[in-house]
Amino acid sequence: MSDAGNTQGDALAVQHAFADTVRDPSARHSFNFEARRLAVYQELFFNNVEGFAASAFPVLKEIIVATLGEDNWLRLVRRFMVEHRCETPYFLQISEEFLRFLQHSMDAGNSESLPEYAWQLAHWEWMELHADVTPTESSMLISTLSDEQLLHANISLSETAWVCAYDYAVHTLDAEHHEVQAVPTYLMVYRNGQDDVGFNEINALSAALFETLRQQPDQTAEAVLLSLADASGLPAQTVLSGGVQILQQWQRMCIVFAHS
Amino acid sequence: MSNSHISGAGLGLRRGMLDPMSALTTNDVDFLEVAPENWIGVGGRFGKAFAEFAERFPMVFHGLSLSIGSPDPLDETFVKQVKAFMRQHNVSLYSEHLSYCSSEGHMYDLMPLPFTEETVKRVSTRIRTVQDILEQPIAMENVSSYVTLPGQMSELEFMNAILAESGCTMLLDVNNVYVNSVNHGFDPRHFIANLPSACIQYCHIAGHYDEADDLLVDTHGAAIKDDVWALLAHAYQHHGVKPTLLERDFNFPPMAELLKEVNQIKAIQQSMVSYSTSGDGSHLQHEVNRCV
Repeated sequence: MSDAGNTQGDALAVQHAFADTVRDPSARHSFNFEARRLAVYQELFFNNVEGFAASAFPVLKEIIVATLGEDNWLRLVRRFMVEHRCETPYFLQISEEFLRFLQHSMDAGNSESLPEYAWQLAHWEWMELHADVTPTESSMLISTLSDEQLLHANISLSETAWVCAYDYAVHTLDAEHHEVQAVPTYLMVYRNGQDDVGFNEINALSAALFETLRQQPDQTAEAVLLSLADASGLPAQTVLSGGVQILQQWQRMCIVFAHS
Repeated sequence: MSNSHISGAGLGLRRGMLDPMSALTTNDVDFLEVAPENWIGVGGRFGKAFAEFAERFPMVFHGLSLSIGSPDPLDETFVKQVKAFMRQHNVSLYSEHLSYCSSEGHMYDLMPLPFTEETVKRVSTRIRTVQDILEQPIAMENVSSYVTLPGQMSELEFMNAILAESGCTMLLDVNNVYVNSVNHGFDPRHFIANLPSACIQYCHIAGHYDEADDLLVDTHGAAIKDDVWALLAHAYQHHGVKPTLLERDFNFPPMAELLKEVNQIKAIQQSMVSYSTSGDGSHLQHEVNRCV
């Protein structure tokens, strides 16, 4: 095995060729790597990446395997290895790289066989992981306030609460329930002071309230709810009385914090 | 916890083993080893569990993604993040693999380097950059490999040249020496005996998988073989007792079984006390100036 000479370019050419063929066993190169030994790397690397994808996106994998067959899933993982350039050194963020690959792939029309909701489902699965591990700066203090006090308190959102809008009820999907119609779905994900992660399906108005809180931080609950009433065209009193109940509930769940 | 001087026998901290490991104390394991890539930027229950372990145990960082031999540019931002994480948790030792794991993007596992003078120069320059950022030496681990890439040097010559050229220290993985000795047909005792004692900061020991008579795979998923235990004793005889970490990444046995292997490390270390004081004197004297 002395295909390479002894210049800098040759050693790097060996490394490039080796990495290329580990990624893509069909890649052509001019080096004489022993097939049986090369196969150890090809298998180890593929299984490793497949393991990351499968553990981050178990439902997506389950649905693809059940509806399109395992080969289809394995081809998707192989395409991720070959086509996508992973920038992150952090293992938990490989799922974000996979999401980017999936989006790019679906946008480019390269995943005709995948269900239309594949990216949104994958995003939802990533969201659950993200909620579990995202770091926070502030502590979570719950204050007990009357509805009247709450209305006049400044409201801030937790760093660990998110609302995601999907075109499908992605949280209901699995191998038995994979043929679904599009229906606007708002999912709230949160991590509380005990580091437990939970999620709720919420209605459009609650989602709009969350979004208003995000866009207008540290205003009083009353100001936020009135601005929401204005935007939605609903009667102010309805939004105020309904909204304060939602905010009370969100306070108990560590989704919002009230500061007087 | 201050940990500038790890000693004894250690165990790797894995997310999948947080529960069984939470009952451990420094009576069970003397230090923990952690992949910073699995914990940097991680909050929530995992972040808290990590901080608790870092408080309770001396810790060393054993990186996976530095990709010191990569054709891609060195990720200096990442090195700075590792440095900040070391400072945050008072970790004083960072080891990595003498290999590469990225080429036009990360691939998340280790590939071997061609053993050439040019690779020595290129990789040593990168190691020195990392050490300049960290303001301390990094320990490079000899990795297991399953192919022979084109190159003029032996692995031993390559390792020693890197140590001399870069000023890094060494993490001696005894199992990897054994695996490579079978895969590439060399004498593992000769390899170990001809490393510079003063450069070896600590050792790794692990189990491997026999793919074929001439092809072993370093899986970290099995019990340690007798030949590898013997090689660890051989390393201690030549270089003195070094802190040694048991690696186990897959097929986790009950904690009691892992602790048996940790205790076996401790027993070998204790049986070697006479060697660590007398040692192989001439060899030590010859090498002692290089890595201190």
